Amino acid sequence: MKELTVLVADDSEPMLEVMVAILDRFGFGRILTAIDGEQAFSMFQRYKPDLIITDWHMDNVDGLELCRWIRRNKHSVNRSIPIILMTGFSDYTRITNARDKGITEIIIKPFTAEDLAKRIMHVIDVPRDFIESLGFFGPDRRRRKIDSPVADDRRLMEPEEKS
Amino acid sequence: MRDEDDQLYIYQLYGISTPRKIKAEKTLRAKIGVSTKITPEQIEEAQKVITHPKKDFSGYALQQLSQIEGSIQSMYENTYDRESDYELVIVPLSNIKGQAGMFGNWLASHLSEIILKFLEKYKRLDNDALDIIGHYCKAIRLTYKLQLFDTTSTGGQKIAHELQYALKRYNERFKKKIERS
Repeated sequence: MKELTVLVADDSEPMLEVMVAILDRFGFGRILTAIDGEQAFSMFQRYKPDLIITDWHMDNVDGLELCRWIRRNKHSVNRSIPIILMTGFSDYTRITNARDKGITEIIIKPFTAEDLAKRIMHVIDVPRDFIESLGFFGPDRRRRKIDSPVADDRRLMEPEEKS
Repeated sequence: MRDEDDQLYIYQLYGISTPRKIKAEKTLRAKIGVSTKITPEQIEEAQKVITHPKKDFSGYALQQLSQIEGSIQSMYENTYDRESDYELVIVPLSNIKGQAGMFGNWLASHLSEIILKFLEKYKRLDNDALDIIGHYCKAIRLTYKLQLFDTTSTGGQKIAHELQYALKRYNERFKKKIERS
């Protein structure tokens, strides 16, 4: 992990310190911190991190706005950088809203070190395709494998076979 | 025909430009090498940071509580358009729910989760709901004052039970109100 640079953004100082300590134990080579989305964006442009972990609700510029700046700005240094969003909300509509803004992974607080490690390894090992359309640039929101063998088999069946 | 083909047909039908798919590349994996991972030992060490936090979170939590209390106070005074102030209550609440649990106060996190689910269900802030939030704030202050952090302790269970009972009564009242109208 020492080859990777991670940027953490959170407006809560205690939380930021805990995150730095956790990521340090995980062995990240460089850990950058920012107290809001605006500072995070300027650090992102300057240091080109490999991964961003950001809180959702921050003063000034929040995590979703930061994501929008990164994904939509044509001067962005890496529009497809993995972004993990931390939030205390678990409400479905809020989560869907975050996903629609281009967030790669969401982690619900409070979480364990194992939860965070799993999310990080997931973005490393299972990177998602990106979709660029008129109103959206972000990870493919369809996670389900639509061409799974089971689904295909059912489509190929005759109607009487299905029943 | 696959679902993706259906989608493309819809795009063509309505003259919408086709979305471009950019294939994922394992750039991070290539950077760290094929076998590098976060080991169970590293996870265990990181978990110690959460289980035995060195940083005191109570100051931040109390600050968030004051924010909630300030918001509900102004809502009591102004009955108009409370919904626009909904986020002023719900965001600090989610901060306490999320972060108290990261700093060892599982009871505060649990109580916040109960209230958060309740508010996200109704998305309305009448006086009864504000009363409940007020009691929740007092309960959280009490957890810090008495160092009541464990959800399984007798005191912790009692507080959670009382809060849930208050919500149950609210639900019943709300149901009756709906039935009458």
